[in-house]
Amino acid sequence: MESIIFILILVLFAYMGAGLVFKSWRLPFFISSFLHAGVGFILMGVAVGPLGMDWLNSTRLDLFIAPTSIILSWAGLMFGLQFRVKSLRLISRANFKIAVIQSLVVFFFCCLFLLPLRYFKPDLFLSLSEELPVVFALAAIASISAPTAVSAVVRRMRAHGTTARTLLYVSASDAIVGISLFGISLSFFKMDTMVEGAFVQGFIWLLITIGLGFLLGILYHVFLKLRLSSNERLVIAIGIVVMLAGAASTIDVSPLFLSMIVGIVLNNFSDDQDRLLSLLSNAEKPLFGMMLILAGAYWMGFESFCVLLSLFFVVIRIVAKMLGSRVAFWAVPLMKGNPNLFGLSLLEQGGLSIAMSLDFLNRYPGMISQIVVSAVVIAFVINGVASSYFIRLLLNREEGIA
Amino acid sequence: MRVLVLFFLMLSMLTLKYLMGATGADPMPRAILAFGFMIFAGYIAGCYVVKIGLPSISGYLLAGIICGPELLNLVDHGTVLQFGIVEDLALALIAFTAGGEIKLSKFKKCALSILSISVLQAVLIFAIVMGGSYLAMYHINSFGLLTRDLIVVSIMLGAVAVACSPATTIAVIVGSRSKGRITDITIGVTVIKDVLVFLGFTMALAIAYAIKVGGTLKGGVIGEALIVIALSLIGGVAVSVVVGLYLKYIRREFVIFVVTVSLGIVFLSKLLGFHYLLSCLMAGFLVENFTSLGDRLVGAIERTSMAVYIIFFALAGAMIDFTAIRTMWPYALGIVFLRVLGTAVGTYAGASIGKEGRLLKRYGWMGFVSQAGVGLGLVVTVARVFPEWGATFRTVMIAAITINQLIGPITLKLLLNKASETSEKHLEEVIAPLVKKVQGIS
Repeated sequence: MESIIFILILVLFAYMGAGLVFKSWRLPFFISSFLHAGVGFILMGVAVGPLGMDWLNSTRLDLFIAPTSIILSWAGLMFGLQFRVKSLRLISRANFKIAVIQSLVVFFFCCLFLLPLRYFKPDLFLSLSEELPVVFALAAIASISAPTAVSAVVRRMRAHGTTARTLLYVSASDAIVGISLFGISLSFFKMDTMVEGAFVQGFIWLLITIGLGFLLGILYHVFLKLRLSSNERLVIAIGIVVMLAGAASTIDVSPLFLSMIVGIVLNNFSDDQDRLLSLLSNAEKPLFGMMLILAGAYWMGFESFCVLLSLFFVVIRIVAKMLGSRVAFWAVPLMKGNPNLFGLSLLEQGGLSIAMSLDFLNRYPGMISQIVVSAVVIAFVINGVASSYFIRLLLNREEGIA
Repeated sequence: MRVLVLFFLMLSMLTLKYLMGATGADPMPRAILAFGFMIFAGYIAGCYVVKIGLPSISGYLLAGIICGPELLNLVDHGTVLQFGIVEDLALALIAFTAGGEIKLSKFKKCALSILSISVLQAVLIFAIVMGGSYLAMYHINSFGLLTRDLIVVSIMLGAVAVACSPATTIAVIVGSRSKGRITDITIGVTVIKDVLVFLGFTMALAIAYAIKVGGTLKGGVIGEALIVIALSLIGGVAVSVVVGLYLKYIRREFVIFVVTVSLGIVFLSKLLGFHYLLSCLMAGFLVENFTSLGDRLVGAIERTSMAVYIIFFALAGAMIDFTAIRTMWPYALGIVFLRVLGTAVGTYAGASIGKEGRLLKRYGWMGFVSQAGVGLGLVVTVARVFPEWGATFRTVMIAAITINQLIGPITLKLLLNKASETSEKHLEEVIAPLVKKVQGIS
């Protein structure tokens, strides 16, 4: 109990402090983007984790497996609830194509370059079947972007042009590809089926995950279709999140992916899911903060392999994002400007990348997963800070806003 | 339709459990799954029992019983124990709401009745249960106890019988949106009795122990009890000061704040040996009455009450020990009867002093039947202090508390309906005739 209270106190003080700072001062661009990206929480996690004060030691971190599943299920549901096919039709299809192409290119490019991972550290004795989930997970994490920094900079610069809109849209929607690829990878490489005939087993698990998502989505929809008071809707929301976390953990598939499917089903079957989304978003701040602190606590420090992998991950992601944008704008010539800079503007990873890495850690507990979390954390920090600079540069050049 | 969906949810849950069968050794995922299902089951059961005039918490308890080890075994005792933190948080929030329900302006008007009913109920329940159980055991004595032990057992039975359940009372009142004099008196008495029970129980325990070992009563024990109660209340004051300052100067991140504060109280109370129920009650009371935005905070917590009640009472339902009832039901029923008798006499006497109406004098006892966590906590203490007969005592009292827990919410709802203080009765008896009258005129 004390660990949870401790983290909650940290989150509370962090938000209070940030609120006070933002209210009192207009911070320099670099510092404000640093805070907006949630890097502060990661640093807190590092400070209280095994590398710092050792308050959140490995025994205590183990206690967070169940709460993490619930947080992941919540995140997936939130994300899924924002995807409505009707709305997609209203927005330019070109933007969606750019998001998908860019994301797929990043995924395959990263897969290709991460494949020799096991030769980086031979003493881990990773077999190919053990290495593949790691590679696919990292590649899927690399493929997603977050709209937080983009919307903050766009708002701050009051940008309204095509570039700003495309950037906002692509950064908000490429995660659907990333999470889907991630969920598919985790279903295919379920740890307990990583034996002979893994492909068939994995495929069945994937079908089970998708089928279960659809089934639960439809069942929950029946509940939500009723006239409910806000109190009742809260009960249903809690029930959905907890049950999805339990269902995913029981069959050992990604709660993020399963909940995303449920969210999408719910959102597309009914016209009244905004209330559910707004209810869930009430818990966004504490859960987001908790997740980042946990990720920070899992960081393995400046171990040479870890740093090397993190830097390698950051570099290939940068290259992949530039390449992805190039290919996307070649396929969909929506913008005449600099696609490389557009790709660099999509560097921010956001909380979803951390969620995915924690999801991976829950499914594949062990040293290699901690290395994945560490790499994602470092990339999160670097990209979170760097992306704001590139977004500003892009809007500056493309839309002439100073 | 909802039942059908619930059935399909259960089917999918059982399928998942079957799929996992071969691989899963870790019980936690199943526990989370079952917990999620229980929330749905509680909600649906709550909706249906309301239709037949029962309080929704009876439905939550029922859902817990159905999902629990006695029937479907979707959740076992181990699973429920895994959610101890959630249960503690729920109870802290309920206690905070209970404290917030005591609005000074309203309670000043019935202060005399509340005080007299609380004190007389406590004294008479203790006396009647103790006396009655002593006489019964003396004549039957199927447990083969010595006279000295019989006295000790009956003292402890009387002391535990005084405990009531603020959580149940508040859940029924908030759930039925009751308002009125009898509602206010019921809340007030329940809260004050909650303070009295801790003091009375410690005194009784000290006396019983002195009788058992043949020594003299040590004043220090009662002094310690008083200190613990005082510190618990001071803890509540401290929390209310923190909440007050927060509401005055910060006013943001309410969700994290409320959860952190509630869990913080529970944690500190357990660490320092306080009663967190008392601290939360006190904090809720002070925040509601003495801070500028406290009513809004209490109101916000109340708006999430259904989720809190479902979680708390469904878990409580799953924990109900039917084995105890099966084996000890005659004794348990005897204790339930004596306790109800004590409550009825105490309420009548107290209401007479407060010059209350006939309804409260006659039927007021119905609001104080329920017993739950506090009573169970006291039973565990008794079983630990007196290991020779502690196990039997525990089984009998658990059976009695279970019966009280099951019938208490129903009798309270009946009382509130009788007093026309629930929203549905108010609608039926006050608003509907008015509407008819207006329609007739027009």
